Amino acid sequence: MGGLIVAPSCPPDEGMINRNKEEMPPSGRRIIGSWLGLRVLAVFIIICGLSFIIAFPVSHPTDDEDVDNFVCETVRRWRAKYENEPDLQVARIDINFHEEPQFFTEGEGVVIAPVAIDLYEAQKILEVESYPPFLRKLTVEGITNLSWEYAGSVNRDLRYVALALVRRDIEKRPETPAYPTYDSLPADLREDALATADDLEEHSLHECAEFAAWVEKVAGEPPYTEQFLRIIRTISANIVQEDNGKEPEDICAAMRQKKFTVHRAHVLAVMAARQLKIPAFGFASASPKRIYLVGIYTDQAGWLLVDVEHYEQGFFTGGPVLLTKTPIISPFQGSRHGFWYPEAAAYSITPWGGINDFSRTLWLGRQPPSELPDDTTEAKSFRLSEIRK
Amino acid sequence: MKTRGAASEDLRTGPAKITWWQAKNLRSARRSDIWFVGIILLLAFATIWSGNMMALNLSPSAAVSVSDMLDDLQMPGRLPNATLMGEDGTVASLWALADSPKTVVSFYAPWCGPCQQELPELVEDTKEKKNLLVIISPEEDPKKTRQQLDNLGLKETEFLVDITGKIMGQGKVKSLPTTFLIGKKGRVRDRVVGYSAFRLHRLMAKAEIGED
Repeated sequence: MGGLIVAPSCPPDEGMINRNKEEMPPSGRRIIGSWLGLRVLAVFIIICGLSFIIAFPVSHPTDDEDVDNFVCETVRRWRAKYENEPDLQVARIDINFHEEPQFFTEGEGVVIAPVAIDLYEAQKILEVESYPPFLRKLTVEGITNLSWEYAGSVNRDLRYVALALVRRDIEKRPETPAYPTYDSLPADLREDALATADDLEEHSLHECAEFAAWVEKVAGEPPYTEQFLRIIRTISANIVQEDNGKEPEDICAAMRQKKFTVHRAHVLAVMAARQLKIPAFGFASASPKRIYLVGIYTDQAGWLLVDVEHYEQGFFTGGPVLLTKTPIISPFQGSRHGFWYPEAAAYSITPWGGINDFSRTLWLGRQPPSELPDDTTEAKSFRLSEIRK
Repeated sequence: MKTRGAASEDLRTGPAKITWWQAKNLRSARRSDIWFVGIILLLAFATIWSGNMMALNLSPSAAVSVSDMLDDLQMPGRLPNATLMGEDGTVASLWALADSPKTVVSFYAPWCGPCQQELPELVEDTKEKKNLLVIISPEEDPKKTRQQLDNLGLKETEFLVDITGKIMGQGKVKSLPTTFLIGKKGRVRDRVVGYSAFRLHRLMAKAEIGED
């Protein structure tokens, strides 16, 4: 029976599906090798790439090798330039914003950090360098601040390293003058060093009715070096807690309760000295062992420093590099806490015109080691001659 | 082997039709297609990478605002030698008027409350030795300014108009009162922004000491 065979051997024409199974690839291979397959693959790769970039953004954190090279080169250059001055010191300030920490904020602004001070007869800044290079140097009442761009438009690590070369003596135990005077202190610095709590409204102490009487009672009789030591002993012996930054800065209440955080003790010691017309400043130093310092001036021995946390050690002169001096007279919006802490922060112009910090760090000296924050400012001092060649 | 019925079914439906899109996409990829897709991928990643790299730096607008902010934070080094006009219409340059080593320059406005507190103190403090220049913006009304100064009992105090606005602009005077202590050729020795009796006293003390 001759059945009707429908042209099984017809040659394939254009536009016809080739039904010859031997010439057709399997359907899977057909898609993979096709133009559509390529496009699907391209889209897949782009999506994967995007996901990867979002998850791990391209970032160029300043790595240790870059920093080491910068430090080595700078120190080598300084050592060559100042080879005749054996006792220079270097303050190294490391500022770190990590990409996912408590204080990192996305945005654009400028990072400002104090790196060292010039202080009459005590410290002189000779050179300042940084990695990456700073945008501008801002000097406020002898405090040198460096600024860098904070381009936190994407979450990423930001790291800045500053070096300051200063002329400063090593730490010594001075002989305390029996009849201290401060006639040789330059007049403008004397004005600043004697500005009282009433003048500056510092930490609202001008509203504290018992402050003046308390100072008189605690200080006792002159000379003012002894008066100051009595004050610092009374305050520092009552340091009871670390400053967690949550309590109001009510120094008046702290005086009544005889319970001071280190910061309040620091402020009170400076302002109490000034209340007695003793020229005094608060200092922060670039050493984890000497954090909160108060200095009073005498013609005979220069700046006599006391460590608020180690008041029993008495006066010393020289020592680690001083980073900040407080309180300042003119407000400086590029400083958190008015320089009581040498912390770096990122600042930007607010919509209403002022300047505000939007991303910040914590000074490592403030924090107990168990509670190290992610975003930090760390400062250390070295003798130029001690840094490894 | 196909039956007659099945064959007749094929004949009725005919060969399956495909669209242009199917024809284009189901054809085998050629070498040129692979190159094309490769270039697209490369461009896509170059765009993403460069965008990401750009985001690491300040955008142009942010760089401008950062620069402005640093200018604000930093005291200007000099006040420019711009033209000032007196109440009687005479003109003179700032540097010519401030030719002493210690000149106090106060930016004032009749509507500004703290300025009314500050100016009488400044006038009193600068009576002896120090030179005081009271400057107003070109937008202020000189008649109202005169009236306000008279009300303050400062009939003898003259004011000047920063007719070009350059002194206020380059001096970064953004709030009132702003008071400068300047030396010769406009060199800024100190600045007080806002009214503070203590800081004004300090400015005056600074005017008493030091050499220009």
